[in-house]
Amino acid sequence: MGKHVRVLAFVAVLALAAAACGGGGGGGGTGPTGPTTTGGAIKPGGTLRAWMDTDVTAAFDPQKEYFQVSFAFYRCCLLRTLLSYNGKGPDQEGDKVFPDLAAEMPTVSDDGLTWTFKLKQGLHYAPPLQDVEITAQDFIRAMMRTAKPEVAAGYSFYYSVIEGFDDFAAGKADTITGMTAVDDYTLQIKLTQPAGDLGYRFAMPATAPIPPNPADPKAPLGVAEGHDDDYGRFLVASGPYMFEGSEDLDFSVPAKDQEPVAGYQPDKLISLVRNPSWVADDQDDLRPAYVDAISVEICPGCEQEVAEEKVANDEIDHIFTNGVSAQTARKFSQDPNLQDQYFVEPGSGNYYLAMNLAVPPFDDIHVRKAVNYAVNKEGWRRLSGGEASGEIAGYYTPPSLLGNLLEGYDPYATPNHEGADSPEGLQLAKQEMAQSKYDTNKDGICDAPECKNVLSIGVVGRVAEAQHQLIAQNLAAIGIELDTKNFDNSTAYGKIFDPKNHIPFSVFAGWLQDYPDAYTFYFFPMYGPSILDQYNTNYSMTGASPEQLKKYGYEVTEVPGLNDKIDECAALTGDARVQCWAEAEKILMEDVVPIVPMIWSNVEQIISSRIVNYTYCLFDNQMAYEQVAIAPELQ
Amino acid sequence: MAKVQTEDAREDAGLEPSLGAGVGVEGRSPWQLFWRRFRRDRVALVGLVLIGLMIAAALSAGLFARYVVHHPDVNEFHFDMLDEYGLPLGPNKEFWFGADPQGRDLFLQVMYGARTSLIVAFFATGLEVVIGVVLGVIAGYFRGKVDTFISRMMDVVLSLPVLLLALGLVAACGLQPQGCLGGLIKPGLLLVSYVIGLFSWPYLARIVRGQVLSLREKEFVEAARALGASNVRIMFREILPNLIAPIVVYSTLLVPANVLFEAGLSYLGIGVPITTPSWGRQLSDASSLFQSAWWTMFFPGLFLLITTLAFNLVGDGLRDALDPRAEAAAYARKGRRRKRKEAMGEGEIVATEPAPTGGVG
Repeated sequence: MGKHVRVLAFVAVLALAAAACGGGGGGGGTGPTGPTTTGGAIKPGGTLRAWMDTDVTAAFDPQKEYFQVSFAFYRCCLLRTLLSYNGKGPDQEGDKVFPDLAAEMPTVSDDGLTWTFKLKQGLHYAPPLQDVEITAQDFIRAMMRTAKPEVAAGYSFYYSVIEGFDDFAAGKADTITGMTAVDDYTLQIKLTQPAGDLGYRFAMPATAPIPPNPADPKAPLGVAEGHDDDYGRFLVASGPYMFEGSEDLDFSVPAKDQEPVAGYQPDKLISLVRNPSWVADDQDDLRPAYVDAISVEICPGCEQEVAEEKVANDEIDHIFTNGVSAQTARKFSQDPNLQDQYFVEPGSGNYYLAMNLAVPPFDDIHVRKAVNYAVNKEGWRRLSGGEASGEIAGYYTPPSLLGNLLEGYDPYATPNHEGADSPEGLQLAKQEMAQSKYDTNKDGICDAPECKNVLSIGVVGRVAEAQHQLIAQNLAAIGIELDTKNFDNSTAYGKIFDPKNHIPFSVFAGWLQDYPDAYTFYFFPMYGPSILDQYNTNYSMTGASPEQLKKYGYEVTEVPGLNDKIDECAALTGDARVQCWAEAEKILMEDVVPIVPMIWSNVEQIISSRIVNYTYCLFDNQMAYEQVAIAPELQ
Repeated sequence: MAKVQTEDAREDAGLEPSLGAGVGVEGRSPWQLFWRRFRRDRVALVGLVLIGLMIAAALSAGLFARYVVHHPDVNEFHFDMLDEYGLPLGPNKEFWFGADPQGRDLFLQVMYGARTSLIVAFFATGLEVVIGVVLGVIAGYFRGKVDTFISRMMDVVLSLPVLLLALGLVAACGLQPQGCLGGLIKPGLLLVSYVIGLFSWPYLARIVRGQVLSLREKEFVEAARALGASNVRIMFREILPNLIAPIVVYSTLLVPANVLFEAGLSYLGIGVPITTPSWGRQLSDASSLFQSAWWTMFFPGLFLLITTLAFNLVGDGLRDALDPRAEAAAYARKGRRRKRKEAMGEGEIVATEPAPTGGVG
């Protein structure tokens, strides 16, 4: 073929490819019109169809799972706890706990060390144990399993405050001495120190009751005996739903011979059906549970954008996700047929930049404050997807956990949150830097050798790398030259998890609540005694003792912290507790300054037009499956 | 249309002077002959012009940034070019190619990307040529065990999973500021160039080896040996000059392959550093946004296409211009067709211009 013809062929192919692939910027969902997602008629029935691109992390083992999506399944559907949430948002007391299996809120002794729960009577487990009543001993059984080292529970540390918990975990006792079933319907818990948020801790799924095994009543862990690694596949439900096929579970045979429940196929499918015991007992004020069944397709490695398109086309009803693609967000927002199916909700987490207080130049508070002024938070957020990704954070803990007491508080505010990319922001940053010992000529530029080649750890990814670049540019404006390194998630976390690595700066840190109390934001990330040799999440070494600093090889001998304040707040309850956390927040942001708070993250949800009574649950940051219904004519 | 057969064309084709051309024929050097043949290939000239434009664009990117579009920093974020959802906006008066997914000036990103691609491609090609030519000449000249060893080395390198090794090497050496091998291989453009060059030299080495096996039997080599020339002198002063043509042609064709290799590595996220614009990474960043921001993929893709096409066209043209046998064969074919037509009475006897390079249809 002549050369000319080859050239023409090349161009023709290009044109054909462009024509085939071209078309459509945003716009136009074509989902059928149907009942509105709010205010439509509610009629029980139908199957809710969901999708997720990753399975739960521990096969639904309630002691092991430490994953928000798992928490959502437990709370809405599978497991009831002493106290629980109403499945609603921040404006509807979604951050509060209410009696669930407890008949009323617990009584607490004056010294805060004894908590007494009265249980509702006549509540039963799902099949095959529909004849077994839920009693106080079942909660002790759950806590024993949580403490058991072989189970490797996800958050057992929350329960070390219970008398005897750690001794049982260490094998020094046969029971948890601080937990007593006074009678079948009264549970008493004694603590080693006051914990004002114990109610929240007993709303966690690890505390859900584990029934006794009728075939082996003496088994210490009941039906979970022999299932140290896989109880989730033999889970006995107590909520409005159960795994399909639960009635076929046979606990009369040895654990290793039992067949797992059919309604959960790892990496493939979750199928929930109504729990007939829950229907019969009819003692649940928190969960209307309108739908008859929930079917979740698990598609590891699949493109979420494909699923988003299916939601727009009503092929599936919901995706378990915290965010959607920017293109989907724009499409849903701009299409009149889809606008009512797109929601931006307040999340329960944040993102921040972590500065190591024990590594120069961040051992100087003026440098840390200058960095706070310099970072362009609005640009960072724009790269994340704009306003939908979150609210610019003026401080560390999400406002809803502080009772919104710090509304308007932003000690390092710059015009439009643009940091050093605005003249005023740059001026503020320089003024702060000029007070630092690392600005030798006091011109507002960090010029000491410690300001050069500062290692900064980030993660790979188009957005994350661009954000890292932006931060590097902002800090360069005040003389701090970052040596940016981006790694995959696992490697990046591995580097900052080890305090011996002396990582000066990391740009991908974030934190998510375990329950709606500021304690969960302070206990690990900002508390000196929580610093660990491995998997340490106090990246800044906040509150580290001189002994800890020496142990990890730091030359700096002391760093600021607020350990005492955290201890003080942790013992309080009610409004006093929230007020205390607000005060701690100011100490953190003005006297310690270990971080640059970037955003309080939002959660985006999209739903099909079949969903009626859409409700968002603040606790698990997902649509509340037990609150929503399927439009009657589409069931 | 009557065409005039020029004496130059006949000479180019190695044909005898035409009747009546008794006036003396001016001699030309091989390079003049080459250029005369090359410049007649219009498609190759177009390719040359495009290469020139691409090089000019790469060299003048900084000037464009500062004095034309007034965005002196190619990595500057322009957040006003991201909409409320963080999606890039399209071409306008200030941003000729629109914004890239990070809100940067895509026009500048593409211009600087040309610089990256050409630097890596030329450096990698140079490395390939040096290694390939040296080893190919040595293998072909000495034959025997030396040839066997070098040929097996070629086989091994050709058998390596290039992409996987490139991934590992770039990832490993790219993560440490001091690089690898005592700082010899540092993160950046050089690292990518080394990776490309080190895995691609066997292709040229094989071609050179084949040519040398033939040339070493020629009389001029015997003569040089008889005169006491050393092996090194014979290899690189006698034999190598005769290989310039195929080396140049093949090298020209290596460049676009290396441009694509660099783009591929960058597409996979393991090429040049993130602060260095690269067409491959631009295509990768654009892949998830193509439906709503077509420009983010179109312009880098177009420039990549033009660059590789231009080098391929020039390479074809060089091959045809440097190999007179190719043109002679083409001219001879055309001459036979003319005579067939005459024999069948289909046409007059007409003089013809020499056949254009690039083959005949």
